[in-house]
Amino acid sequence: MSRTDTSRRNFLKGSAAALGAAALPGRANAAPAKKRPNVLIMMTDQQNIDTIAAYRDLFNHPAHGTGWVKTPNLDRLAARGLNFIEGHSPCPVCGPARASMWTGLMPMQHGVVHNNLGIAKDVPNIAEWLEQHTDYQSYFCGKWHASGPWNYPSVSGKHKLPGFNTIPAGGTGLGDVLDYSISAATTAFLREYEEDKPFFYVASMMNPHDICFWTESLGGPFITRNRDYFGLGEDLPPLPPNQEYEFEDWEPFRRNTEWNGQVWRQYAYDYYRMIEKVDSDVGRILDAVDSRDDETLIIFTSDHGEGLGRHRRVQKWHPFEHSVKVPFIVAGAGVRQQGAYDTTNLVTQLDISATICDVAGAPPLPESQGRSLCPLLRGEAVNDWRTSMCYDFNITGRVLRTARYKYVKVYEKNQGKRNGRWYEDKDGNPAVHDPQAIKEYKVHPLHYLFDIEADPWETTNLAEDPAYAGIIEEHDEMMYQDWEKHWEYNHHNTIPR
Amino acid sequence: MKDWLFSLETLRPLMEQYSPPDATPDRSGITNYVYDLFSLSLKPSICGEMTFRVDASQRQISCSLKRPAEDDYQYFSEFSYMMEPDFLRLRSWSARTWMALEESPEDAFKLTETDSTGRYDGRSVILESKGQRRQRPLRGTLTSKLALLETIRSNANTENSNTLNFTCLDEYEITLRDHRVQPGEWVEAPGGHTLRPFLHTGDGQIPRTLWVDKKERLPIYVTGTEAAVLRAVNDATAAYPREQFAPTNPKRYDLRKMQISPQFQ
Repeated sequence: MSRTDTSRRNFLKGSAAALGAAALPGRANAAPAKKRPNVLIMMTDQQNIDTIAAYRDLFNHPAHGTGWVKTPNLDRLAARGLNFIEGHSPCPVCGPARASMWTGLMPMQHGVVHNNLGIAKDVPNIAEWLEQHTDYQSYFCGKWHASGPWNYPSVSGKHKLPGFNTIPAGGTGLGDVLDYSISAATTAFLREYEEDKPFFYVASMMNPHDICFWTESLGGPFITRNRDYFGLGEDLPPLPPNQEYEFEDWEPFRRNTEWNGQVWRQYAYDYYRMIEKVDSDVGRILDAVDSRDDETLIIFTSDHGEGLGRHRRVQKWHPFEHSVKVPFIVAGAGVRQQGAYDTTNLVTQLDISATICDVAGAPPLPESQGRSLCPLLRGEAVNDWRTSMCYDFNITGRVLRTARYKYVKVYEKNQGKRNGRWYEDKDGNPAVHDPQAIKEYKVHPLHYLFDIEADPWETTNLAEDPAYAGIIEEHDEMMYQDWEKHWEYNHHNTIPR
Repeated sequence: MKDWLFSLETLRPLMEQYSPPDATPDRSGITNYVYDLFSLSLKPSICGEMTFRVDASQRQISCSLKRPAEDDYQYFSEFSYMMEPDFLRLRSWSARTWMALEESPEDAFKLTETDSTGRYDGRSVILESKGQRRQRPLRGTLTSKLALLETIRSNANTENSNTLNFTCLDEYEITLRDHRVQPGEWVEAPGGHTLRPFLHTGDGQIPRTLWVDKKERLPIYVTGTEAAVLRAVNDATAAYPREQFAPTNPKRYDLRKMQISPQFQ
C-alpha cells in the first residue's frame, strides 16, 4: 500500500469542499435546533480492510483482496463517505472488539479480554448512555457477542441487552443463513420508523465470519485433499507474499502449516465470495436508508480482520495487519458525497461510541478512551489527533502503533484462570479486575518491531536490530504510559514491565 | 478435473441413510417440494425449511422459507416468481419477509416486515417497495437463486447441457453479476445414489453444487455451510432419520461447546 497516494492535504481539501449538511455538532453556523440525525451502524464480522474494491489504488498488490472482490455497495458507501484507512480493531477478536466498540473502553477495562466473557457490571454500554442522556431510541439486530457465551440478544429476558430494543435475529450463527434476515429486518425498520425521536440502530451481520467454519468443521476435507475442488483455476487468488515468512513465535496460534497453496487459494476465493454476499446485504440497507427523508449518520466497520494465509494464519487473534486493520467508513449526515480518504490519522473503534455521543449530544462515556471523529468528518484540521495508539491481542498481547512503526509485546498468560475458566473470578467478574491475577503477569522475552511504512506485509522483525534500540525504547515507554492509564481505571497500582 | 464428491463430504452420514421421495415432478401441472435446510457449520443439523411450488402451466414458482431467529422467533420469507417459458429467465417477482413467533407466523414483529415487487424488461430491473420505485440498468439473462432449482432440475437428463451464464437475483432486491452454472457428469455418490452435479458460481456465491437424479428430482444442494435436502414431493416423503439431525435450538447454542480442530488450538 502506498501511504503517499492520498495526502492529508488532499483529504482535507476533499472533505471541506464537500461538506453540505449541518447535522454534525460543533459547526459555527449550525441550523436551528431540530431533530438530531439518526445513527446507523452497519458492521460485518472478520472483514479485512483490503476487501473493498474501491480501495484498489491503496491496496494494489495482486494478493490484496481489492482485485478479487466486487463490492458495488461498499464502493458506493465509500464514494459518499470518509474512509479511514488507518482504522483499527482495539482487540482483534469478536467479543473484546465489540465490547470496546460499545463501551469506549479497552478490553482490560471492560473485562472482555477473551470471547464469551461479560462486560463488567458497572460499565454502561452506549445505548444505556444514550437512554440516560438523550431521547435516542436504540435498536440492535444481529450479532452482539459481548456479554457472555452467547451471540444474539433476546427480545426480553436475561439475554436482553440493556438500553437496546432487540430486533430478533440469530439462530444458526451462519452469515449465509442469517444475514438475509438481519438486512431484511433492518430494511423494514428503516422504511417504517416514523417516531419523532432519532434512532440509534445497529445492524450487526455475520459474514464473512463463516470462513471460520472452513477451518473448524470443514477443515478435514480441505486439509486432506490437494485439488482445485471446483476447477476454478485462474479465478483463484494468488498466495500472499508473506505466507512463508518464518519468525519466532510465542505460540503457534491459529497457524496452519499443513495446507498447500491450492487449499489456501480456495480458502481465499470462498472468503471473497462471503464479502460479496455481505456487500449485497449492505446494499439492501443502503437503499432503505436512502428512502428516508431525514438525516442518518452511517458508520460501517468490522470487528477484526482475517488471516487469509498471511503469515500462514487463519482467522484473527494476531497482532498483524490482517487481523487488525478493518474497514472504517463514515457517511451520511454531515459528510455526504465525500469520497475522501484519510490515510494518516490513527483511528480505533473506541472512537465510534465517542462519535455517537458527540452526534447525539450526550457527554462522553465514563473514562472513554475514544475520541469523537466529528472534527475529522467536518474536514477540520485537527492538530492534536493521536500520534500513537495501543491495541490488545490474544488476551495479554499488546501493540503500540505509531504512524510508521508497530511495536508488539506479550505477557505470559495462564494467570487469571479461575474456576477452570479464563479470566473470571468466582462471582463471574472479569479477573482482569483481580489484583492478584495482575501480579502474576510476566513479560515474554519475544517482542517485535515492524516498519509498517517500508514493510507493509510485516516480514522483517527489527526488534533485535541495534539500530532500532532507540525506537524500541521510545515505543516501549509509550506503550507503558498508555497501559498504565488503563490499569489506573481498574485501580491497580502494579504494572509489570 | 473437478472433485464433485467433495461437496457431499460433510453430508455423508445423511446420504448413506437417505432415500428420496418416491414421486416424479409433473411436467405440465403443479408440483410441491419440501426441503429441510441444513447448517453444516459444526455437524449437519436442520436449521430451517423451504417449500417450493412449481406451476408449470402458469410458469410460476412460489417459495417460502422459515429459519430460526433468537428466542422463539423465526425469519419468514415468501417469494413468487413469474418465469419465461424456459424457466430460466425471470420476468417478475414479489417478496415478503418478516419476523414472527413460530406459533403465530402472521403476527409480524413490529418494524420487521418487508413487502416488495420487481420486474425485468430486458433493459432494467424495476423494484417497488412501500410506494417507492427504483430502477437499475441490466442486460442479459436474469434469474433467481431459488428459481434456479427448477431450471436445473428440469435439465437433469439433458446430456449436452451448456453452461448457463446469467445475473442472479439474490433473495429479492440484489442482483449479482457473472453467475454461471456448469453441468457435470453422472457420478456414484455416498449411499449408492446416482447423481449429476451442477456447479453454481458467481459474485457473492460460495460454490454451490446442486445434485439431480435420473427421476428429474433435485434431492440435494450444498454450498459452503448450508445444504438443502429434499424431504417431500407432493405426498411422497423421503426416508431418512431426521431425528438424528434435529433442528438447531438457538437457545442451546453454546459457543463453549464448539470444537476447534487441534491444529488451530
